[in-house]
Amino acid sequence: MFYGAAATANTTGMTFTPGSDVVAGNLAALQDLLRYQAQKGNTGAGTTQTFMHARMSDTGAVTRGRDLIDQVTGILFGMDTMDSLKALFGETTAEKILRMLREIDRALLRTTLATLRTTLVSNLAGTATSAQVAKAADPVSTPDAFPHLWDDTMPAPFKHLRENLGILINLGDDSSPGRRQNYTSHAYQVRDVAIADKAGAPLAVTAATVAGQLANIDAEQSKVVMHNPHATNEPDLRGTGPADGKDDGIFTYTLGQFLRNFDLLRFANVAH
Amino acid sequence: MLPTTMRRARVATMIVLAAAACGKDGSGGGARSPTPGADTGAAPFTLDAAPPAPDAAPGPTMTTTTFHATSAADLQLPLAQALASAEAAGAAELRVTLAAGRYDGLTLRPGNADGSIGFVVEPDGSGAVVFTGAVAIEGKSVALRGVTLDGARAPGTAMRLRGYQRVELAQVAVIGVAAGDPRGREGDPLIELGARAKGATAAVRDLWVVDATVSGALLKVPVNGPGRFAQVGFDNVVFAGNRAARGLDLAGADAVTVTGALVIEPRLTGPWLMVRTYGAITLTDALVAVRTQLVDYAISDDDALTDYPRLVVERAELRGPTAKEHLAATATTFAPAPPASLDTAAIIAAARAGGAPDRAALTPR
Repeated sequence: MFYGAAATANTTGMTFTPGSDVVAGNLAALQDLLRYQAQKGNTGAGTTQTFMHARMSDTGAVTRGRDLIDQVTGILFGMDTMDSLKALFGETTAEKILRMLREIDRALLRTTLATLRTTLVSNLAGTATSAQVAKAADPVSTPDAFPHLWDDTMPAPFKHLRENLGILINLGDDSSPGRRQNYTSHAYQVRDVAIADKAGAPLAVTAATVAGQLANIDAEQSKVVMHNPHATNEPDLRGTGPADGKDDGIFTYTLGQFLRNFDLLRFANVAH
Repeated sequence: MLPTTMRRARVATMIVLAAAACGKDGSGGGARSPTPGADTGAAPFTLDAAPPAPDAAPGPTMTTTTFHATSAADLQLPLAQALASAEAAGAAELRVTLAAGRYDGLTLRPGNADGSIGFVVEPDGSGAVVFTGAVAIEGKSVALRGVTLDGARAPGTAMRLRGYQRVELAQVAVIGVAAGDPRGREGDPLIELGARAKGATAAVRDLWVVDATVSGALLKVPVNGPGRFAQVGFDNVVFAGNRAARGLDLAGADAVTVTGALVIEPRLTGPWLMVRTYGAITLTDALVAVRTQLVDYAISDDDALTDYPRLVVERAELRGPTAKEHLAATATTFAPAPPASLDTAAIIAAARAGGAPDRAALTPR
């Protein structure tokens, strides 16, 4: 608890547009994360200490879900020829996408995605509830029901949609016994930020120097350690328990996951 | 190799006399479409500007760096690099000019966070500048002029301006913006004006806020850190058809004047003025039409309504509940509350057209 004028609060939005560079599009958020990392342990007199949490809004999750459905639908159903898929993803991946499509009920997947998209658009217009969104997202997010979403050798948008669905299935709740990514309208503490290059080696960047290092930052090698303040309910898309085996609310996102699955940083600088 | 956008962006640095750099009233920027820069005069910085006359009175010098953006991408890495260069060169001000077009959003804060550089953001005069995302600017002095936020979706506050000395928001329209999580409970304001030091001032003129959706206030002057405004002035402002908890939420200011306001807010769930400061607040030459309250005060266990000076209202027309208002009104008329619905089409059209609000023409009868 801080009193009076000791704390100065601030927020920074985080954007994610499918198909765009999520790191380059979030320079301000990266600067804030790095400033937090540098100042979070400052407790001495005359220093500034930073506290930070991140959250995803309902609107942000729904908007991103809509855009990801468009992207995934375009890959699965918008390209009629093998050539167009090969041009985008290479021959091996293209063949795998088509083979998986042949093994499932294509019409069902297409209909389910279209139904969900309609529900998301209605939600943004205020005519569909959070519960309706969660219900529409559930059949798409069922583990392995649509194998493209669960195969990490698939193009990245499939994984991104899988994670987003893990948010949408719990829209309106901030705790649940089942599957989840992270909740909306729920504050997660940011605990640790580690920026790395494409080889996974730590990058010595600061808030002041990160602008010049954006091209060297790898979104999937860089990590953000988070904490659900409920001390439970970590991301668990298959419903099999925490990835680290400890149900304490602490989990690690890649920087890419962090920027895709949260849309706002809230932080306060406290002058000691 | 630099990205294309970086090569297109132009950066120029020059030294000018501080007295010449600022207009007589401290302003000096362009206007919003359709005639950007037409009525206030273009900012006096040009690459080939003549040096001051030899017999000019000596005054403080101010180094201004100008960055010209032509695309949304220019406001990411290229602008960050321009800011870093300006700070390294000891510039007192970074002026960002924007070509006509749509921009995702803008975050502009000093890299060293000590408030040593100020910012001016305004159109370059080539046409309408529209933001579709949040704008956040913090610096020694901050001026945002002549832009529109139209249909923007912001995860938090849509527009935040914070200054150590002065904050200016002029000829800006905020139309159909959703800020924060409108279905959430976090209470982010649509617009925030913040003082980073005691004694700062804020001037808001020709501001349109129409058809916004936000769970907090439409415009908040918070207590946030050690700063506090000595004076906040609103001149020719329109608030109409917004869905919000409150209108103006005033805390971190010693004095507030509102002159020439047109307020038609049948969908506010709380008061148009939420007062959390003991400073004097005056409302002059205004029309305020609300269905809830004109003004409410933050009463706690430590204070009472009588601790607050009465809201001074002069030459105003107040439509709505007035029985419990804590007012000192002169030359003011009172009328019943407006209908619960409001057709904002005409007001939105006027806001997009730009210029100062014509209160008489916009007032529904």
